[in-house]
Amino acid sequence: MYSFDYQRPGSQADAVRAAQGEARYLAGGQSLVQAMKLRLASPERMVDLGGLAELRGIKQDGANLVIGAMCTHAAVASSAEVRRAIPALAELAEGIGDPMVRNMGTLGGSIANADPAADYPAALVGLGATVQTDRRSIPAEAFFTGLYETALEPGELVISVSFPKPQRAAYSKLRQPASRFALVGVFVCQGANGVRVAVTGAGSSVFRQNAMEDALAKNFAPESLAQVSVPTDNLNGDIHGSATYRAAMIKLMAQKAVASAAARAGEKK
Amino acid sequence: MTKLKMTVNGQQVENDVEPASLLVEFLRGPLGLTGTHVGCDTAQCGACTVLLDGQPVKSCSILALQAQGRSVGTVEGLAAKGQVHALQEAFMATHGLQCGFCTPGMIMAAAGLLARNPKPTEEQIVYALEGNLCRCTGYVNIVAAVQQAASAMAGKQGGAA
Amino acid sequence: MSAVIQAPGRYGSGQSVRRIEDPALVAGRGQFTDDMSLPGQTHMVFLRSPYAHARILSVDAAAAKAMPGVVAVFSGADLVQAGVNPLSQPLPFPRPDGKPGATAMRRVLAHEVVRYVGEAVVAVVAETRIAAINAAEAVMVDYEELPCVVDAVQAMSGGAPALCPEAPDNIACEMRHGDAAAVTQAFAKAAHKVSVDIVNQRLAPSPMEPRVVLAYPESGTKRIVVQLSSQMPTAVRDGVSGSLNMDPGQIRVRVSDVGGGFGMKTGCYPEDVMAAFAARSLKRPVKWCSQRLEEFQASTHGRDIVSHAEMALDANGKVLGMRVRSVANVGAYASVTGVIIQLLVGPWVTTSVYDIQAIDLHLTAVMTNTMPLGAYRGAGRPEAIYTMERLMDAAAREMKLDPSELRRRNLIRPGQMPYTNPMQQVYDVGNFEKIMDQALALGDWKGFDARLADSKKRSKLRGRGVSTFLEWTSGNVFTEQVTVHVLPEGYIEIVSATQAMGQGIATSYAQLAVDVFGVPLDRIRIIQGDTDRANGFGSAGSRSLFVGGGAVKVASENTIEHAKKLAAQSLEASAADIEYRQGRFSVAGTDMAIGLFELAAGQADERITVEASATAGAPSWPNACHVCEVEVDPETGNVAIVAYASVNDIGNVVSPTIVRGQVDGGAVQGIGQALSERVVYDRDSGQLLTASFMDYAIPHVDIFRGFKTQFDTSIPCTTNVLGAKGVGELGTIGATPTVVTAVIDALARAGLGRDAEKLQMPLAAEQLWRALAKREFPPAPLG
Repeated sequence: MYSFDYQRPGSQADAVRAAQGEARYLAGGQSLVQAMKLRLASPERMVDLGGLAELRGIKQDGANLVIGAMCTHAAVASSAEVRRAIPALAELAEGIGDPMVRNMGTLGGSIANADPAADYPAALVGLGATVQTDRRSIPAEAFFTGLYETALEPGELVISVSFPKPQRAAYSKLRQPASRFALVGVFVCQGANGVRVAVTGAGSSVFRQNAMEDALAKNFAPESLAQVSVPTDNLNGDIHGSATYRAAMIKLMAQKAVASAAARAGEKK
Repeated sequence: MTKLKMTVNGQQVENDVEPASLLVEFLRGPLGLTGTHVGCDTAQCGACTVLLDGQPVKSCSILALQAQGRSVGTVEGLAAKGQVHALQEAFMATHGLQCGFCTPGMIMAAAGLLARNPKPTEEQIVYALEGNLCRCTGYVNIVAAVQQAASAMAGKQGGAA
Repeated sequence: MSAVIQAPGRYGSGQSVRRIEDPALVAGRGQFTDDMSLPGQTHMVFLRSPYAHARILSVDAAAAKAMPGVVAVFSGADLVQAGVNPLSQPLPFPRPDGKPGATAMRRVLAHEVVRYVGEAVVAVVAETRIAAINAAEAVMVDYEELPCVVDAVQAMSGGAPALCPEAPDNIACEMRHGDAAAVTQAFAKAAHKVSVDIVNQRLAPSPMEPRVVLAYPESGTKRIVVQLSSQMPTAVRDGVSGSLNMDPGQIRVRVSDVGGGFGMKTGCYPEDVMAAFAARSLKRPVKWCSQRLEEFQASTHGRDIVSHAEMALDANGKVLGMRVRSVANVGAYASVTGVIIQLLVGPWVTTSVYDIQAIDLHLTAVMTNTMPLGAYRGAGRPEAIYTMERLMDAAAREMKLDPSELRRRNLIRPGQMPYTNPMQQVYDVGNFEKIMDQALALGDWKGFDARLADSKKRSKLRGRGVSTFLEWTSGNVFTEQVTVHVLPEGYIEIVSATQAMGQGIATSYAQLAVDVFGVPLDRIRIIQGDTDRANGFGSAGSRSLFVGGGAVKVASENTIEHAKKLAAQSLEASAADIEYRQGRFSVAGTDMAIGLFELAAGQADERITVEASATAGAPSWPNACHVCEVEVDPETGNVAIVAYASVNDIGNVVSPTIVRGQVDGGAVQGIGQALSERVVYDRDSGQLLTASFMDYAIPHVDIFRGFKTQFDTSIPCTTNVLGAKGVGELGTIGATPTVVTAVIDALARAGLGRDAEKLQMPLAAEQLWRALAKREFPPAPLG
């Protein structure tokens, strides 16, 4: 990779100060270090967030679960809090990548990268989460804006993500056989704000499937989706799956997620 | 250059490193610990797996500086000097390696698993090795090796290393 | 020569032993080539073509040369000027127009034209790898992009861009085998005829260790040492010296630990020559480490042949004749290896274990703007066996016969041995029906229906496949030479030109030596990977045991015989009275004795050295029956292997655990081809779309582990001293058709019938989903 200056601040405030100019935050490095190795990213300065313990917490906040940006996927997957409040989120986290990726990769790093096949974006949009940065709150749907694109401004630091606790939710993923990323991943949620269906892997960015949400709002059961057809417009097509296949799998993964969610006992709040 | 201080296989290590230096480059280069291997450039193969504070990580995807103040374990440090770790013993006993290139990564991923979960089911072993590719063995004897090591370590009431 | 076999000790052949290779490897003390570094070492990096086909208009390295740490920059023109020869050798087969086989010259660095994405254009040498990479980015290469073609069928049809003027149709060479008229007659009187269209897709062998070359000037001489990860040290020596106009003796090739080869590390590569050239020019060590991207771009690919195959049968299902038309994509530069694999080696086994004498094979090797083809585990035999088994599968379905029954009616009988197949290959022994019956029992073939019903309850489709097959081994080189040194320190050194790459050959050789010497296994040291000490064909074609091991046995026996004479002198007795047992020579009927190592120490040069060679009389013909069951999820199209059993005839077994590892590990590679692996070039741009493990799907740990693998050792090979048959490629050859026909069976049973045979590898989920949901199938490759 190209060389760069490196800083490892001890506090959130120091981190934000250090990130002026052509700097990138380094969370777990699982996306960013890879991109830099391939010379697809070349920041002049890296601000390593590894020393910021304050970003590693998981806590309840009324009807929400707040997860710190530097929480690793492994920490989220094994957290008793997360398992109790939003089991679908813990299950999603334990399916990200592989064990080594999960030990380093973080929630904040993943969403800031906004890989079109990442799992977390589907959970954030599916649960109607809010991203808390050092300067504002961004609703999940406004956060993911395009292919590897987010609403984050230069130097803006993700502090935590606040997830409303659902009544029931689940995530189903069909893996691309080589990378094992989501070829299609569907997060389904029935919560205080109604039904939400969020799809990752199939487009340039996570999106909601409104027709499915309407059908499930009437009856939260897999059969409700039988008549819903998923348009192929704007869906990815590549050597691993055409848009037609992805459309069919969106429907299938949604049905599986609904079946899983419907089978859950009522959530504790 | 930035000063890097960490523990590697129980030894204190202090070096100046370029920020762009990867942990695997640091281990293989200045520290001469060539048991950790580089097999790909997209962090898929897991041949570079080491333990970072006891957790398996891919050392090709981590800057050396991310290990600042932490402890790193490589295959060379798995067993006490002159001894053979139960995992190493098991891989030999079950013919769990052929060319040996993926083996250190497999062993370290397994070591991380057994430290956390001393009695894994076969399914849990498979889940723990999903990030480690092997082209020679077909994986059969690798899973058997981890099962055998788990039994041996459980039998030893506290296990080796 | 009497056989001096000691009582089979605990560690002799036939016993499962711990591998002598393992203690270093599990401790992380392997010596893979990148683990070595030399003082003053420089690093080499290649700038590779971003285009599939282009003229090189200019190379401007001025800026690169001026960058910090850069030692040298070389272009194709520099090498031409320095007299470096291209690597291409004359092809052994002619073109259809009768002219000699044609290919563009493959150079060490491309000169004037690049012909595939990833072809090396410039070599940059610098003090550090980073400096070399940075400098490579600063080299300005001006290309004029040309139209490209990546599909072989398209390349040979009119209008496609030509890769070299001698082949305006891109045909490198062509071969026909058999008797077309006889086959036409067979079809005319056939009661049944079936045909299949087959894609045997391009694969990337993908050993876990990428290639590495470390070349350096030998101190005190003018020689260059090339240390690299290779299966064929002598071929590298000869290729490098030939290209650099040096005497072979001026190059020493050394190979230490090799992290997998699978045929991809055979022969001599441009990078090998480039590193040696740079080391010679710069008088410094030069190391090149292939990135995984480069492995996908620029390390030989395997397979890539499409066929239309037909078979004629009588009313009883006896095959009367077969006809296969094949087009092989040999890549941008046709090599001897690449064309022989498809045009000769595959045909040698086309009729496999079946009594078929009328064949009509027509194979064309075509060049395209893709990476050149080479050997990959099986090298021609997987392709031929796959075609044969697909034909058998189709015929069984057409005739509504159990696939094992159809095979039974066609298997060569033991009474027909030795059997000469229509390609004049002679099988010495084989009892194919016995092997098949054992495998059917091991796989509970008869119990399938109950399992089918169970899968159905779980909403899964289920199918079964069976393959009976043989394969040709030896690499066509039947002699190996071995040198034995008995050393005073208490070790027996055995030097061989075969090459370890993970297959455990050192342990197997050591066991053979233990058979003869009767000393502990840890007294045996196997020396390979040094062209100063041994030269030969190397390891490929599953030959290292039955050819190389035969030489180990003979040389060991010769050593004992020679040492007996030395012992006689030492003990002042007659040689006839000397007995040898477990490391000691004694005079019969007395207690006068001398130890083997003591005897060595007492010689003038303090060792006992014996050279011997052994020649296997013929290729060995390992054979097997593999049986497999799969479940298909009709909703996604995903395939799961749920059962796999095999009975393998590899003759006498030296190392039981090792050969089982070869079959199972090989089978997983075969499964990879069946289900998920495929090298893909974009049809329009020629860009490589599968350039990492993100897109090239090799099996992970969760693929399948329940292999039931047995060996029938009752049919030893009769043409080599070990009675052994090669094993390294057998599992790969067998797994692919077994899994594919199982999936076809599953979809056929689900209502697709014979249409299921239109499926092609890899059997990726979408293809199966389309077949089931929409009755859509991939197009036949040969129009």
